[in-house]
Amino acid sequence: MEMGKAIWERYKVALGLIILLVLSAIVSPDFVRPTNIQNVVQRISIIGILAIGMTFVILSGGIDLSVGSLLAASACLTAGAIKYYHLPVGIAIMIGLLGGAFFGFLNGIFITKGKMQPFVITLALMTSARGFAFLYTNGQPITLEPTDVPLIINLGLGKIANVIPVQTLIFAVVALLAFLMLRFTTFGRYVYGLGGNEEAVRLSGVNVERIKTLIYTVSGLLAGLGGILMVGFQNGLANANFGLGYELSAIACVVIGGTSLAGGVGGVGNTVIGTLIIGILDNILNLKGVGTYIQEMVRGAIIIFAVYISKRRE
Amino acid sequence: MRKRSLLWLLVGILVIVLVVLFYTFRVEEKKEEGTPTPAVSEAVKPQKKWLIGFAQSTMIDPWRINMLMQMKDAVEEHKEEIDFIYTDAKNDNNKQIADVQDLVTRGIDLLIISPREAEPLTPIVSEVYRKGIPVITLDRNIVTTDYTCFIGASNLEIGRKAGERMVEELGGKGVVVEIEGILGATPTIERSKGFHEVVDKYKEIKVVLKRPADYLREPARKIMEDALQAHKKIDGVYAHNDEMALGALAAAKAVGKDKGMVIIGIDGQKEAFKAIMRGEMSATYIYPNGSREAIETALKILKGEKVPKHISLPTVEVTKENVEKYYDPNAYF
Repeated sequence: MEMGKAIWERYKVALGLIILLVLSAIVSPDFVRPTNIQNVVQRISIIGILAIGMTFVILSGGIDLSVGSLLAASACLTAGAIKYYHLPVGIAIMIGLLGGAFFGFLNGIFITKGKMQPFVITLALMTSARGFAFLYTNGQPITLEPTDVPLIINLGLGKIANVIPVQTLIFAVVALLAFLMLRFTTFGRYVYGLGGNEEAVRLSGVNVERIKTLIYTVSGLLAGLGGILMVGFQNGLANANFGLGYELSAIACVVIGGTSLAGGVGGVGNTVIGTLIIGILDNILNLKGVGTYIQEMVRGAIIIFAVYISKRRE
Repeated sequence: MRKRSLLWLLVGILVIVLVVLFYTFRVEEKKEEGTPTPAVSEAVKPQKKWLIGFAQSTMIDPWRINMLMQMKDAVEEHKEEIDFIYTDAKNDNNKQIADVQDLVTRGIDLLIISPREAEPLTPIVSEVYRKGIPVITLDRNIVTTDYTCFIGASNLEIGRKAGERMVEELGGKGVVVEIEGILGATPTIERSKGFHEVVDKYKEIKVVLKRPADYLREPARKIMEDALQAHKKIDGVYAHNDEMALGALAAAKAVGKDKGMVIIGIDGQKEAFKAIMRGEMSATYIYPNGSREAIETALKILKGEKVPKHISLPTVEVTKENVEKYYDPNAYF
């Protein structure tokens, strides 16, 4: 009995995903077509990458509302470096990644040194970073000629052997790295520790401020990566209005996967499952031609249900 | 005890979700059962219905909701020939790309798309077109020629007309506020560009403020409130749509400064027509959504008839002189 419960606790979210898969396959024969599966895994990748960053933040007991804006800022930084300053694509990508990481670093510094609430600080950065993106681009979209930036286009739209989308591969690599980091490094242990009992971690002599700053920097860096993939996926366009509301989608992926908003409980595997659940849900609702307003209601209902199921025993 | 009732609530929600999913499933099954019954004579073969998919870019502003409603009306008139499904990209290019993929997976015979932005949607629309599925681009176009037919009106032209109107009403001089739509969106850029092409030639017309209100009424009202604080006299307002023009009007009315103010909007919304009748707004421009034309053209394409590559929709200037003709109290919009 005890063991049964333990197994249930461990795998119930995965079970939810399997039930959703089976149900989807039953209601729509189109769902299992290889091209459809390809489409789904491609389109969840950017949100998935943001959600991985968000997992670190939420595990540590924080929240990062700025990722959607950081994504836009990085996309504009990268495209702008190419369009305005004619820098090589490789360097432009570095600028985008570092830009995202820098904004994330600012989040961390304000939260630790300024001793301010993550919610408030990242909300502020959400506004400021988007303002920066609009200022930098003058409110106009930046269009790169796809043939000039094949690397970026390939990152967003390419498929390996015409089967696996490059985006999805990047998502998988990021997820694997994050998993290893959380599972096998001391940094990973501190991340869980901060969410469980920050005071205990501090008392054991760990530099909590540094760990926290690093967590937000990672989240910013991954948002930057998402921004660059987005430029590719959108065929060379960068716009300051990219990623509106993505922070909430990323949080939803993490929470549906079963990671507790209170911190300390959950992991990367949960987030990947949560991301898949959201992606499949959107897909199946579209395939069934469910009206847009009903879709919104259904999505909300599923979130409530999933979070209730994934709640741990007190 | 309490925990159990919560569980029941959740089970209830799940049941509703399943019912919705299965309901949509059922509808389709019924249709499939219906067709093979040989009630009609065998000579008249029951024709296979065409499936038209419409990828809408957003469903939060009235103009776009109206576009879909009118399209559904047009579909209704041809319901023996076509089935219709639509998706809503929620103002997100990525979502619209996904939506198009899903429509293709559903097996549509023709795609109607109103691309949110041109460049990002181009590859997927090209892909669909090259698969042999005809594509109608509606209101906004893609950057290549991989589509069957474009249907839309010219925002640039409307901007110019609005500029000419403003110059005429102000007698070539005055202080003007411009309330923009969504920054960076094509209609915003073109509506502004056309307007300035005309107005900037007149040195004594000063556009003192140019702010975006995202095509929404409340933000426009706030911008106008601030503008009325900052400037003693505002002679004209050019808003990129009627919603925002009405917002500006409300702000001016609230402080009693609406008399003699020239307010120009775009879209041809019912409420704006009323404002024009009352003399509160000077003009609006009917910006046709082309949904009816899209369905008619789609049918022609599916029947193998030739259609032009570019269908230009006429825009009408509506002022006090002709507003009665266009006002329809039963319109959706």
